[in-house]
Amino acid sequence: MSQSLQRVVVRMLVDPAFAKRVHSGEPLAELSPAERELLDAVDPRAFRTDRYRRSRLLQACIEEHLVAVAVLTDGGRALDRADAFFGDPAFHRCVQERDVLTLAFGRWLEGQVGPLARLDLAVAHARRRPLPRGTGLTLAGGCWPLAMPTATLAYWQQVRGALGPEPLAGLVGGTASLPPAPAASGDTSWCLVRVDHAGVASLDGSAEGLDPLLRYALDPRPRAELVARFESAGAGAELLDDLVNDGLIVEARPV
Amino acid sequence: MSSGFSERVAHLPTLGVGLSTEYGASTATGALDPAALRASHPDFASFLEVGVETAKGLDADARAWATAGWPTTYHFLDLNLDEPEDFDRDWLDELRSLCEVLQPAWICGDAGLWHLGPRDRNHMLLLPPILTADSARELAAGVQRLRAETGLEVLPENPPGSFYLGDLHLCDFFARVADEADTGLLVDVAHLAIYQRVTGHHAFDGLDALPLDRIVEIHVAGGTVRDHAGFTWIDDDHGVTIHDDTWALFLHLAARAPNLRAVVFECERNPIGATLPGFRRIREILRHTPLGRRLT
Repeated sequence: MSQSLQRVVVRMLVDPAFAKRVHSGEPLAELSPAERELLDAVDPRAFRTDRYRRSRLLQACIEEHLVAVAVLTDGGRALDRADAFFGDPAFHRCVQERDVLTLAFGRWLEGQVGPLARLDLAVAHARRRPLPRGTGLTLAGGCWPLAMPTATLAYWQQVRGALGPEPLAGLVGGTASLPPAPAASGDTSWCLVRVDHAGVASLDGSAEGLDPLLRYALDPRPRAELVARFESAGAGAELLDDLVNDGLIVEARPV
Repeated sequence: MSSGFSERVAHLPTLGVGLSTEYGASTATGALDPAALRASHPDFASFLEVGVETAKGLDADARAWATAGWPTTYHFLDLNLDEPEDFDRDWLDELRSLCEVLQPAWICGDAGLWHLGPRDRNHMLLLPPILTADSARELAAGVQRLRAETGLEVLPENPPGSFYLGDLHLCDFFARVADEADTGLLVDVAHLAIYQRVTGHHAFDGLDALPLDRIVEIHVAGGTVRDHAGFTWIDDDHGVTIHDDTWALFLHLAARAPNLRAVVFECERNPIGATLPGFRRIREILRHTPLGRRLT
C-alpha cells in the first residue's frame, strides 16, 4: 500500500487539479478507503508548499526534448501546452507505474507533434541505456535505433539550428522563431543514435532492414537466436559478425 | 553480521561531533570547508558525513578527507529503502566502490522517498515514509537488505516534510523499523521538531516510544519557518539558527541515549564563523551525556 500511496502523493504534489479531485472525495480507482482516510487527514495546503516543483520538472523535461517542445509551444510562446503534460493521464501513468519521466514526456510529445519527437526520445533512451546484463549478445550500451520520416529529420535539424546556442533560454523567453514545417513525405530515414560517455549524441545512418534486427537485439540474446532472426530477415550470420566487429553488437554484462 | 544489534553496536566506533557535506556543497561562496574546520576546530570535525548520489560520486573535498584517513559516515541520497526495485546491481556496485574509498563507519540516510520512479536525473525529491505498520515492515526489509549487501550497519533517519501521512506517530513508526530490522537509528532532532510541529504535537509527544538504546547518531540543524496561504511549516534549510524545540529534543535524547556514537551539525552551506556557536553548544550539551563522557 505504501508505495502506491506515495506515488499518488507525488501526483498530487505536481498536479493540483488531481489533488483537488482527491480532496473532493471523488471515487478514484487507485485509492482504497483507508488510503483516502490518510490523505483526508492532511491539510490540502501542505501539498502546495513547493511552488516551483512542477516548473523544475517541466524544465528538466524540456531540456531533453527541445525541438518537439519548440514546435508544440510555438517557439515557447505557449509553454502551457508543454506544461499540460502534468495534467495528462500519461504523466499519472508514468508516476504510478514507476516509469522514467522524460521518456513518458517524449512519448506524449510524439502524440502532440508526431514523429518529430522521435529523435530526442531516442537520445533520451540511449542516454539511459547502459550495457544490459544477461546472456549472449546485445546492442551496445548508449545506442538506440531510430526510424523517422526523412523530411521530418531534416526539419528537426532546421528547428534545432534556429533555437541557437541557448535553446532553453529562447524557449522560456518565448523568443524562438521557427522555420516553416515541411510537407509530408513518405521517405523514412533509418538511423542509430549513439551517446558517448560524455553524454554527446551522434547519429549514424542505418538501413531499413537492419532496424528491426537492432531492436530485437535491445535485449540480450544467445548468438544462435540472433543468427536465426537475421537469417529469417534475409540477412546472414556475416552481417551479425560485421556488427560485432563494428562494436555495435557486443556481449552483455554478466548477470 | 548475524549477531544482534546490542552486540554489534558495541563494536561501532565513537565518532564524536562531525559535519556533513554533499557533492559540490563547499564550492558555494562562503560555504563551510570541512578540512579547514578540522584544522581550526578538530573537536567539531571529528568525522565527515558524506552525502552521496552514486551518479555524482565524490567531490574533491570528500576524496581528500578520505585520502587523509579521517573518519567518515556514508549518507545515501538516492535510495528508496522500501522499494526492492531500487536495490539494483549497478547501484549496489557503485555503493560498494564508494565505500571502498570512504571506509565509512556505517551507512545512514533518510528513510523516505528520495526519487519518483526509477533512479534518474531530475527525479529527485524527498518525502517522508507513510507512517503505517505495513510501511515500517517494508522499510525494515530494506534496512536488512542493505546491511546484508554491504556488511555495514545501516541507520535509517527520520526525514523532514511539510506533511506526514499515516496512523502511527513518527517515534512509534521508527521504533517498529528498529525492532523489525534489528537496527540502530539516526534521529534528526530538527526533522523530529518539524514533524511534531506540522502534526500539531508538543515537541516531546510520543517520545516514550523511541527506543533510546537504538540511537547511534543524532543530527542537529537549523530551519526556517515558512508560510503558504496561512499554512506554516519549517523548511529544513540547514541554516545556523536552530529552533528551541530542536535544542530541547537534542538535550533530552543525547542525555538518555547510551549507544550514541556521533552527532552531526548539518550546516554545510554556511561560513565557518557562523557555525561555531552551534558547534560549541552541541559540545557543551554533550559534556553531561554518555557520549560526552566517552569523548573526554
